[in-house]
Amino acid sequence: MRNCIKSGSLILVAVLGVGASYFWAEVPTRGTPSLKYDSATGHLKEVAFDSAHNGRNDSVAYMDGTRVERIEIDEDGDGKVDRWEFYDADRRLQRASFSRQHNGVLDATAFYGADGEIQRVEISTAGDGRFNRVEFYQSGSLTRVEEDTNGDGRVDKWETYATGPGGSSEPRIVVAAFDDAFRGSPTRRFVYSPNGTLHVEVDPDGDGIFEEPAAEN
Amino acid sequence: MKKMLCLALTVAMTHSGQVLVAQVQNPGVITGAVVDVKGVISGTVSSSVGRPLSDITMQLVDARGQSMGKTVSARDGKFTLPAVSYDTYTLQCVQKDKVIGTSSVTLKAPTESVKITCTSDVVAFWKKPAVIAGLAAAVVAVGATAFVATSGDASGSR
Repeated sequence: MRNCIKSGSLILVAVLGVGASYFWAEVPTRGTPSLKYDSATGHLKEVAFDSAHNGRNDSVAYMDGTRVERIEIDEDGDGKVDRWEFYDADRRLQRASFSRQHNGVLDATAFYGADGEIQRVEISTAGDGRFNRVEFYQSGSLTRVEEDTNGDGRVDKWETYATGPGGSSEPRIVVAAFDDAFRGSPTRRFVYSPNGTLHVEVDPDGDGIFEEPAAEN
Repeated sequence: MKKMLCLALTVAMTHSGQVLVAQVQNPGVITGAVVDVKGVISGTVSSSVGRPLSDITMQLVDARGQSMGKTVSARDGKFTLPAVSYDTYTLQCVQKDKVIGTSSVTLKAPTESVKITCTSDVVAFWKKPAVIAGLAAAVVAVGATAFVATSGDASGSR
């Protein structure tokens, strides 16, 4: 029986280790993990554990047997979930949701590619459940932002970003476009050069062709 | 009726946000002055991770790209810009000479409050390390007594 228990746990550990290369690294654990099983299937259902190694079980993994479905983390110990991590069948992080204000309200979700790199982040800037801002990333760097600033369900601000060589510096805006008429396409845009100068262009008729603004009378 | 007309005050806003205040003194004669009505834009700047941003230069730019005023955000991310005429502007977050956020702002009242999101120091937040490694450590810690599986069964059943 003891051998059976050991082999079972080793199998589970091995299965959990697939797809998580860092699994075998020595990760100290100070809290006392607790486990719950599904009474009908006998499968492992929940594991509460200490991810911060501070003696408190701050994380709960929701599982179906060895499959990790999601992990909820209470980072500040106030009893409210601050982060939700969702994994695929290969235990790769698919997306992580955040309560940016640590109030238990999910107001941002980051999506990751198969390579583990961040792809995009959807944000509810007001924390009201309307996800009105999307940040797009490439090779770990911010490339553009789309935002619905007036809550009509349509994007009215577009920002395009550039970083230094190899993403070596914080991103800066190279083009910012605005839809002041709330028609669904930009009415004007600012084009920023690397030396900081600003060029203004407008598209009053919405044909997608930007031109110099008309001289003011 | 004629007396009422003489006392009538006409107020009209021009396209550039100026207000024309005119008084009809006699039929056919209008005197008055163009008054530049101004308002104040204030608000809060935060990063997309929800953190208030301090020491960010908040710069107001008009439709021609000309700077109309600037200020620096306080520790709680709050800022108040110098008064400007009623119009549509672009508000820019500038950090280390880089524009890291923008917002279109239309001022049409004495005060206008803005919440602007900028992208300072955000990537690290979204890249927090996943905690699945801690789960594995927990399984290791309790595995010897908590898991029971039939031989060859990797389902995690007891």
